Formats: sequence, C-alpha cells, structure tokens
Amino acid sequence: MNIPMTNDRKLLELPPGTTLSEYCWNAAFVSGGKGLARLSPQREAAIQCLPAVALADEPLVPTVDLQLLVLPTDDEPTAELLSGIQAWTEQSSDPLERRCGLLQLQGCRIFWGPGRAALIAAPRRLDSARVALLEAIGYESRLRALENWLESGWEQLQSDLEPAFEFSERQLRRRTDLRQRYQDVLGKRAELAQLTPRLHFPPIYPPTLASQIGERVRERTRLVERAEFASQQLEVYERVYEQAGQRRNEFLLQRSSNQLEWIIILLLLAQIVLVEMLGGQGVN
Amino acid sequence: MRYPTIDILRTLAIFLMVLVHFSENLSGLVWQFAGFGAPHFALLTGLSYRIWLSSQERKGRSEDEISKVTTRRGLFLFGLGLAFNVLVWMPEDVFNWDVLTLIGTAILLLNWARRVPPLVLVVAGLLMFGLSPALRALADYPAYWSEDFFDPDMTLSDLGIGFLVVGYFPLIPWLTYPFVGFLLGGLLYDQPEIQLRPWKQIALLGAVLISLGLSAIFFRSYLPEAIGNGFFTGWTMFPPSSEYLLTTIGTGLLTISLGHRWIDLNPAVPKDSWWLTVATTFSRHSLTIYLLHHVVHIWPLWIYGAYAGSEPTEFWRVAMPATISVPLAGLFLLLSYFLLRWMDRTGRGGAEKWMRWLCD
Repeated sequence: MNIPMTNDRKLLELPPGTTLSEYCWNAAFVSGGKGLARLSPQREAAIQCLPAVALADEPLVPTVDLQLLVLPTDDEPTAELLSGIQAWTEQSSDPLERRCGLLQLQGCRIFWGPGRAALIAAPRRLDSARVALLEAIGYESRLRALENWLESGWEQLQSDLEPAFEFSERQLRRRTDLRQRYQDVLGKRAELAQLTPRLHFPPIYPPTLASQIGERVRERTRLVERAEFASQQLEVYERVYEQAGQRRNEFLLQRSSNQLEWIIILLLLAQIVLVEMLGGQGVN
Repeated sequence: MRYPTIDILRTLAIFLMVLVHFSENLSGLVWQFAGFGAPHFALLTGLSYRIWLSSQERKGRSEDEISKVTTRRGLFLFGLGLAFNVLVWMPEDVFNWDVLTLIGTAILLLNWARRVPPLVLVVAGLLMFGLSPALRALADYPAYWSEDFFDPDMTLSDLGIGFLVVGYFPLIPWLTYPFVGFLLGGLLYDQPEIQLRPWKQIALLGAVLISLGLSAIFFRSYLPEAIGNGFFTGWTMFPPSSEYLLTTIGTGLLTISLGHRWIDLNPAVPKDSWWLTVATTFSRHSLTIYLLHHVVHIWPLWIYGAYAGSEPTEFWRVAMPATISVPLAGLFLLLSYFLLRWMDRTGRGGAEKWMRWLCD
C-alpha cells in the first residue's frame, strides 16, 4: 500500500488487476436496452492507485455515463480501502443527489452512485457481477435522466398551460416550440415504455449472484416505483401538449375559415362599390 | 425596446413635416418632396404598434387589457385630432380629417387587425389601393375641394364621405400605410431568429414598388387612356394617387428593411452617438412636436391676421418669403431639441405622457 503523500492528496493502493472502465449508455439504449449486458467499455485501463480523499478538482468526463472500478480480490478488503472506494464513488454525486449506495452480497461489495460505481469481488465472480451491475445501474441511470428531464420541464409546462386551454394569434408564434416539446414528451414516453418491462423482470430461481445483484439494486433504488411516478408525470405533460396541439389545430381551422370569410366580405364590399359606380355611370 | 431605424425615420419625417409646414403655411412654398412625411408617419404607426403589441404580449398582458389600452389610445388621438383642428386651424375645420384623426382611427382598426390573419390585411390593403381611384370618382372628389382645400358641407353624408374617401387623410387609401407597417413589424421585428428575418425580400419588394411608381409617373402618357386617367393620375398627395402610394410604400419598405439590417442589427453602430440621441429625442416626442410646431407657426399667423388684417387667415401662405420661413423651421427644430432634452431631464412629459397617463 502506498504511503500517503500529503494531507490533501493521498494515494490508495488498489489490488493487482484492478481496472477502471468507462461506459456510455446511449449506444446500448438505442437498441432497446438489449445491448446493455453486452456493453463494452469505451475505454478500459488497469489502475494501481486511487486518490483516497475526494478531490474537487477532478472532473468527470462529460461524455461518459459511468466509470466502473473493478477490484478483483479474494482477501477481505481493509476499512481504509472500503472508505477510499466509497469516497471515490461519492465524488461524482451532486451534493443534492442521492449519496453512494452500498451492497454486500455473497462476499461481493458494490458501491454505486450516479456517475461512478465500484465492484469488489473474487476474480471468478467478477464477470457475472459486472454484467448484472452494469445492467441495473444502466436502467437506474436512464430513469434518473428521465426524472431530471421531467423535473426541469415543470416551469416550462406552467407557461404552456395557456395554449392548452385557449389558442390565439399570439400563441401561433410558439407553435414550433410547442410541437418540439410534444415530440420530446412522446420520445420520453417511448423511452419509458422500453424501460419499464426491464424493471419488472421476475426473480430468477434458483437465485444466482448476478440475478440477486440486479434484484437488490433495483429494489434499493426503487426503480419500479420511480418508473410509475415518472409515468404519471409524463401523463400530465402529454395531456397538456396534446390539448395544446388540439387547440392549435382547431384554431388554425377556424383561422383559415375566418380568413376566407373576411376576404369574401372585403370582395363583396368591393363588388358593391364597383357595381354602384358602374350603375351610376349608366352601365348595366 | 427602441430601434434606431424607427427613430431615425420618424425624425426625418418630423424634420420634413416642420420644413414643409413652415414654408407652405408661411410662404406658400410647396416642396417636391412634401408628400413623404405623412406616409412614413402612418407606416411607422403600424410598425410601432406591432412592436408595442409584442412587448405587451411578452409582459403577459391579457387580450382584454391590450384591447382596452389600444382603444383608449385610438380614441385619445382621434379626439385630440378633432380638438387640434378646432384650436389650431379654425372651428369650421373640425371635420377636415387630418392626420391625427387618421392615426387614431388606424390604431382602433389595428386592434381588429391584430386578430385577423395577415392575409386579410394584405387583401384589405390591395383593395384599398385598387379601389380608391374608383371610390373617389364615385364620390366626386373634386366637388369636395375648392382652391385646393377640402371644403365639405356640414352634413352627415359629407362628413362620412370625407372621413372615408375625400378628406385630407381619408381612411381609403391611407389605412394602407398602417396596415403595411403592422405586417412589416410582424415579418421583420417579431421574428425571433435574426437569420430568418426577410429583410432582403422586403427591400426587394420596396424597390419593385418604387420602380412601379416611378415607371407609372414617367410612362403615364404611354398607358391606355382608361388607366392613365382613372388609375394612374400623376404624382399627387391630395388625393393620394396610385403612383404616390406605390412610391411612398416602396420607400418605407426599402428604408425600414435596409435600416433594420444595417443599423438595428449592426453592432458597429454606436448606440450612444449624438445623431442617435437627436433621433431618439425627436422620435419619442413626435406627437408633441407635431402639436407644438403647428401652434408655434399657425397661431401667430392667425393673431397677426386678426389684428393687422381683415380676417385671421389673411396672411396665410403670404406672411413672409421662403428665405425667412425656411430658417425659421430650422430654428424651431433647434430650439425644440433643447426643449425636449430639458423635458426629458426634468421628467416633464409632453403629449405622449398625457396619452400614456390617460390610456395605459
């Protein structure tokens, strides 16, 4: 184990064979989540030591969804290693977000946060545990992104309530935005519809380490309930934008009919004037 | 938000108006370019209304509130126009349908215009443009004018016809200008994406209209007799001929679109330059200047005529030579600039402030 170098930047020695992998979910989710289990890391590197103290100046890679630290060891990890790993995992968390989760199962230790996770297990169990962990964290991450999207949209939704009730010439200028938002909502609904069946995956019998990791992480992160809440919230969004779209269509229909009526009225007035003028001049 | 182009064009229209009125009313001198001020005022009325409307909508004011304010402003200007006719001109001129009554009515109608699809306004404008010569013929326009002055009988039908077709600034075809300005504001200033603002197309349309107007003036003798006598009747402001309408609308479209592109959207134009300060000062007080310059040069004329002559209007158009009246117009503009700056500095508002106090 390395000796701490300074008070604020200690290095924690990791077991031999430790790897740090970076994953990106997008590619896997495009294929409907089927590719999650077979997801290959964007980058994988062997790692020997880790800063034990949370470093504020170490940013996460923005294009990476998850950094997974895999530590193969048959020995019981020391308290220092465990606390160092936990600190590293929590470092990615937003102070307002959930803190690092901890799971201990059949000698396997799992730490997971929104952008980082760590898996400590015997080498023979690592592969199956990693796949199960990746899958569970992937679904959680996707659902969290959806929840964040919903959360950030409430204010916009408030301002879009008016066109859902009444559409006018003024709202017509916002129709491109409203259409885009409705499409976004439908896209999110489709995403949730793809995600939900995977969250309701039935328990496997006899249980394996991988299946238990999946179940426990889903349970601890309340994925099923959160998906239901997200679905209810999406319903509100859908209703508002659907109504806005309907009002818009009605308005456009009425508008084109009004337009035609006004033009006919103006042309009739013109005709009256011309007929009057020609009549006055004795032309029949 | 203030747009330098609008301020500059309005200020130019003010300068033109003051020069034309001083030289015409004091010396009887009519300039060739005299007809360009009023159309630009009317066009900018529609344009400014569109911009004001957008700002109100952004502030979240309800339709009802906007309607009420618009109606009150329209009625205020209409009433002010009638009062102006009585107090500045003569009581018998109360219904000569000057530019203030036109702008008041235009604002009332813009309250309707903002609710109808733009195509309706385009059709209305085209019909007003196309039918106004026929309507004037139908109404017998020359019968209402004697010695180049609008002189109706005080009957309801004459007043109505004067208001609609044969007065100084009748609704048909003068309403075309605010409608065009309103449409222009929607296309140019209301488009959030700057790249999508069709300033080139509008400038091109303006150039085409100017070309058409000038062609009609220069090639009038080659036109068929029916068109030459009935539709294109030469460059006249009273009545506003088709050439006049085409050229002035075209000029408005061209100057506003190019000004918007090269001045409003040009970061290199210094927003605190002296000429922009002058333009903003005059533009913000255009109504005050309109009223004031009439009072300043017409009232002394009436008073002097009443004392020194046989009737108040005796010295109208013959009071002094143009060599004096034109510098007087310049002096008035200079003094009024300092007056307006002083009013701004001390928070004293002019007619615009009264209007806002009463109507907003």
